[in-house]
Amino acid sequence: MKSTIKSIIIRISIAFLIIVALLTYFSGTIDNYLLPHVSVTFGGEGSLKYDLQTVSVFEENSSDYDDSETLCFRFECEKELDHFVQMGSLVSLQASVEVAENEYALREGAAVIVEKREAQDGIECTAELKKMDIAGDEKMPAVGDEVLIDTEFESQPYRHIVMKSAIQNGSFVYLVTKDADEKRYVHEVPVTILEESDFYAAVEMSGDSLPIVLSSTKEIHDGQRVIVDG
Amino acid sequence: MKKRIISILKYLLLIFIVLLFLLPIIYMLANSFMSTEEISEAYTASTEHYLSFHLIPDRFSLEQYYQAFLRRPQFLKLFWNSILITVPVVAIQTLVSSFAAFAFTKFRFPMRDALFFIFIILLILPSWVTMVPNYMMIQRLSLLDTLWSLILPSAFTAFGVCLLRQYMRYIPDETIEAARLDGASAIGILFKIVLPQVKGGIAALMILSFIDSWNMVEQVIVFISDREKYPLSVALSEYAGTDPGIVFACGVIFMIPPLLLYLYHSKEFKNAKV
Repeated sequence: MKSTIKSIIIRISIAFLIIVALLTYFSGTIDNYLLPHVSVTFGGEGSLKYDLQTVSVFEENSSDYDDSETLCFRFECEKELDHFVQMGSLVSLQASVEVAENEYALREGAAVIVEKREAQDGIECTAELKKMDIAGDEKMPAVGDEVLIDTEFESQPYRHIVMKSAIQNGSFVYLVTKDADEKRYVHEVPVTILEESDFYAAVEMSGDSLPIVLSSTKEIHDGQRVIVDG
Repeated sequence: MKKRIISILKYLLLIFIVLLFLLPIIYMLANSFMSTEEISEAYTASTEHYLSFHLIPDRFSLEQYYQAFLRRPQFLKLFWNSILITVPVVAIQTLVSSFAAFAFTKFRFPMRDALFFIFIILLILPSWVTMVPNYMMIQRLSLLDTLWSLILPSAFTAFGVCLLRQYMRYIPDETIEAARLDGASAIGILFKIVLPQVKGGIAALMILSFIDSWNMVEQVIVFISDREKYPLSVALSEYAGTDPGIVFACGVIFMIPPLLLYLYHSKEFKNAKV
C-alpha cells in the first residue's frame, strides 16, 4: 500500500515535471502560435488625394465671370470634397477630338475650376478648358461633346497621413515598438483626425516613424505582445 | 454528557485552527480560478467599493492558468530556476549532513564536542548575520550573480548535521562495531547500516531543506542581480502587487513540488522520532 502511494506520487511528479518542461521548452512556439498576428502600415508626411471620375458635357462659356468664348463644363462632387476643390484647382480630363474626317480619338486636356457653388447633393463646380493636347489639324472639342473627368484633388500637406482602417474607434492607433529582444509590443496612441479621404486620414499624433497596426488576427490591447506579419 | 460537549468543543476548536492555517491556501486556490476582471475588481479599492474578500468565484475561469502555462512562459522559466537551486541544495545538504553527523556520532576524534558546539552556535545564528561574510566569500570566489551563490551557502548548514546526529545517536554502537568486524568500510557502514535506519531523519531533512531553499528570497536579492536567474519565490513577491491574478495561479504551481515531496515522505516524516 505504502509503495503504491509512493509510486503514484513518483508518477505524478514525473508527469508534472515533464509537462512543465515541455511547456517551457515549447513556450516560444506556443507563444508565437497564440499571439495576435498583426499587419502593419507606415504613416508619413503628405497630402490627402481624392480621385474624381465623372462625365460631363462641354458648354459654351456664358457665365458672368468671363466674356471670352471658351469651353467649360460642370460637374458635381461630394460635399466632403469642399476643402479639396478650390477655385483655381486643376482638373484633368479627356475629350474626343476629330483627328480626321469622321474619325475621333481621346485626347487629354486640362481645365481650371472657375466657379464653385453648393448644390443639393454636394458641390457644383464649373471648370474652364485651358489646354487640350491636340496636334496638327485635329479639332478642338465642341459644345455638346462629352468630357471624361479623371482628376485627383490634393489637400494641404500634413505631417501624418495614415490609413483610415488603422484608426481604432476614430480616436487612437496602435503603434508597434520592439524591445532589446526583438519582441514586438503594441501601444495605444491617441490621434485627432484633421481631414480624411476615402481611405486615408490626416491625423495629429505622436510617434513618428513607427509601424501602425492595420489589422490583427485577434483582439489586441495596449502593451500586448504581437507578431508582425511580413 | 459533559465530556461529550467538551470533546465537541475541542473538535470545533481544532477545525477552526485547521481552517485558519488552510485559509491562505484555500484563498489562493479560489482566486486562481477567477477571471482577471474579477480579481482586479476585488483588489481595487475605490470610493464606490472597498476591497472585497470572497472565496467562491463569480465565474469559474482557467484564465490565470492559461496565462501562467501558455502566455507568460517567464514564470515557467523561473520555476526551473527554483528547481535548479533547490535540487542541488537538498542533495548536497543531505549528503554532507549525513557524513558530518556520522562522524560526530560514531567517530572519536579530538575536539569533537567542541566542534559540535560551534555547529550549534552556527545553528542559532540568524541567517542575516552570516549574509555579509557569505557575500564577501562569494564575491572572492567570483560566484556572484550565479546560481552557485545560492546553492553553496545553503548546502552547507549546521541544521542538517544537528538533526541527523540526533537520529544517529540512537543507533547502537554495537551494530557499527559488528559491521566493522565484518569488514565494512566507514562509507559502507554509513550507506548500508546507518542511513537505512535514519530514513525518517533524512526525509525530515530533505523536506525542511527543500522548503527552505524553495522559499528563498533574501539571499536571491542580495546575491543575484540578473532577474532572469531569480527563482519563482522572488518573482511571486514582486508581481503580487501588480498582477495578483497570475500570482495566484503561479502560487498553486509553486506549491506542487513541496507538496509532492511531503506526500512522498509523509510516512517517514510522521513516524520520525528524534
